[in-house]
Amino acid sequence: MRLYYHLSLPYLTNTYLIGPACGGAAIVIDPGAMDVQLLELVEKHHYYIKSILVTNPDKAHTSGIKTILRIYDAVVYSGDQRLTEFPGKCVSEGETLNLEGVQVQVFSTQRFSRESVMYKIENCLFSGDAISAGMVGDGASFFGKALLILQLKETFSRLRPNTLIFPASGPPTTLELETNFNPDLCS
Amino acid sequence: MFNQKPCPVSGCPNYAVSFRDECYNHLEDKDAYRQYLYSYFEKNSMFTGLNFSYVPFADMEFHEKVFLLVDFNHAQFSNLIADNLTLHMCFLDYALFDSCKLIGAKHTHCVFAGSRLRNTLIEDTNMLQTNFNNTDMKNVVFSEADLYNSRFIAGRLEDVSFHDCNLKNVNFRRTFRQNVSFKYSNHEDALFDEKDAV
Repeated sequence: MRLYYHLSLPYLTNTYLIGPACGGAAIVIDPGAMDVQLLELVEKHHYYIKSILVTNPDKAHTSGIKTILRIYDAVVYSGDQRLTEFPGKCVSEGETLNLEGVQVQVFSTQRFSRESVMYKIENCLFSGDAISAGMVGDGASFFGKALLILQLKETFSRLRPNTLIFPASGPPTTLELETNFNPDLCS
Repeated sequence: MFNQKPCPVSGCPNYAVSFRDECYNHLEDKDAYRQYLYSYFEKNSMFTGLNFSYVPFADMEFHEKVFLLVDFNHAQFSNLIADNLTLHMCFLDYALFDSCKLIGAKHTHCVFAGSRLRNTLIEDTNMLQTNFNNTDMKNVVFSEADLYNSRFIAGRLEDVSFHDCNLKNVNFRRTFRQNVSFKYSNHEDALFDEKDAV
């Protein structure tokens, strides 16, 4: 498997593309935009987008979906029913998806936002807005953040410390770094 | 993604390094392995999905090498000279850099968090969205570096110079800073704790 990163400029959010080493069915996570650069990334590696994973159904993570669906016959996976205007599936905590042979585990962060989920593929956790390097739930209310911290601690206790975290905004991090240094999680 | 194969030694939490079955700490032929890597790096220019955790690298020169999704966590680099190095989504957390020079490099979406940097020069380098959280830096110079959207949260910066750097949206919250210079850099676009804004 190969993982590629793309910065979606309108919202400055991270979009991730995952596909086999030699082309084929690919997964795109949080397409904040479907721009020429992302299209080139997909086509250059001979990918065909079959699955779109959404961590949080807001514009910053979904604005590219309509354009992607005009080009590729893809299925949208999200924690929110509202996205079913697209051909898709609503996912929830504990589910494991099999997307063209790729196992995707779903973790809910609904204490932060009712529709938010995180996806784990191999040892990579795509955390959306729930956690980024050194920060938890940027933009959450005080109460929402406190609940999210509890939920993240619970989830992280089930994962290996060397799990890599790829957030929707900012640089990547690891579970070990966050549990050691993130003041919200290490206290 | 990373080719991660657990180290077969009972109780070892680490992954096996690339081209071997054990993690670096459990290798019996550490010197031979390092020699193998030095010649492997010399012969090739592009490296993808490899794991070199805990490996010490000394007195090396990298010219125009490309590393994609390479894991160097806890690695040690001393007297490393790198020019036009591309690092994309590489993990160098808890690494040690001593007397290194990175010139003309392009780093995107990389992790240096928890690392120690000593007597290091980073010049004419794009380090977009880089995670430097909790790094311990002493005598480090960033010169003409684009650090857009990078994070230095809770880092310890001592005798560090950001000379003519792009600091747009760079997060310096909860950092300990002693003798840090921001000459010709747009520190007003960076994020500091309210009480100690520059």
